[in-house]
Amino acid sequence: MTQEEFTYMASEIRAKAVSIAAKFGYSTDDSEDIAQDVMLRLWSLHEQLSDATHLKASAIITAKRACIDRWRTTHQYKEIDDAMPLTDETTPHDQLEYAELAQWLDKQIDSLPSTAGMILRMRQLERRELNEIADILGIKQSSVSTLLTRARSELQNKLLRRNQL
Amino acid sequence: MKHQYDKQEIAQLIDKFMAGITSIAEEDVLAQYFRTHEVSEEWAVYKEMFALFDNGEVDIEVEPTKQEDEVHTIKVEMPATTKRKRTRMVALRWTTAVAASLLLLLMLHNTNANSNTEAVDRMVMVQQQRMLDEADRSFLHTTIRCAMDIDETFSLSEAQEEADFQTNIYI
Repeated sequence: MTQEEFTYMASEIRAKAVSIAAKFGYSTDDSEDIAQDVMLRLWSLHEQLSDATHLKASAIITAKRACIDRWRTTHQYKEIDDAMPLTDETTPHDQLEYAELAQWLDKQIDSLPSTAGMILRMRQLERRELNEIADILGIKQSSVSTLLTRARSELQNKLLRRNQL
Repeated sequence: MKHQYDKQEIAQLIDKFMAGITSIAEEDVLAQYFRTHEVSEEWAVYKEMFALFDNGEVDIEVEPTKQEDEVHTIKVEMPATTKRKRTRMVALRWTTAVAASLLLLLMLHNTNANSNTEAVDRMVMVQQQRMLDEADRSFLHTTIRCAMDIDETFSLSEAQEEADFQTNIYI
């Protein structure tokens, strides 16, 4: 899909991601963080997503995966995949489609850079304006500044640590 | 007319940059400044950052948010460098332990062993000191203790042959 199509759906998609994270039990701040990750990942894949339905399904799956991943980094490993089904769809055909999409998304997301890497790409390499990035991710311009601050600080720390070794 | 930016202006831009509020034009100013100037140690990291952007490099390694980064770095480096060395060291340790313990058994089988216990002790000690470092000594002691428990059916020549063989294939 095009940038315009993606941007048009960005707010709706992002809201969906936030609500999934909230249902999972995350605080408002954490849900916003998760939604940020989801939007950046979906944006990185947008050229491979064909239409609104594809995007919506991908958003739901990616959000659930992000919730699980975040849980696993802060807690002992738990069998929670069963507790949170990938989809609300009940027909076998839809379930199969979702399962295939989930598998494909897993593989794609595994090779994506971190959140910081993705936001720096958008700004430093692709030279997108703050308001453009805000539209794509479905957030306010001030939130984009926050994302950039975090990413640049992360990079700064990595370089300082590397130079100390 | 080319505007020359002084250090104070650059310092302000750096602060804005790290706060995420610079414009693209302002970031270009920083990039150009760092491309053309040597900088103090304090600013070296920024020069490096913009150099990476020039090269199209923006990836930051994915690091676990709750863990110590130092631990993560060390974890990655250790196995690769020591694995081969460790395998060789283990083989060497084991061999020298076997050789030394076989030597000890040899000594014990010697019909003159009883009257030569001091000489035997000294020989084993020398052997230990020559072949092993601190870490391996405890390993040797354990091996000798185990060797004591083993049914002592070695003949002198068999033991010599075995020790020879083991020592030569690994060292």
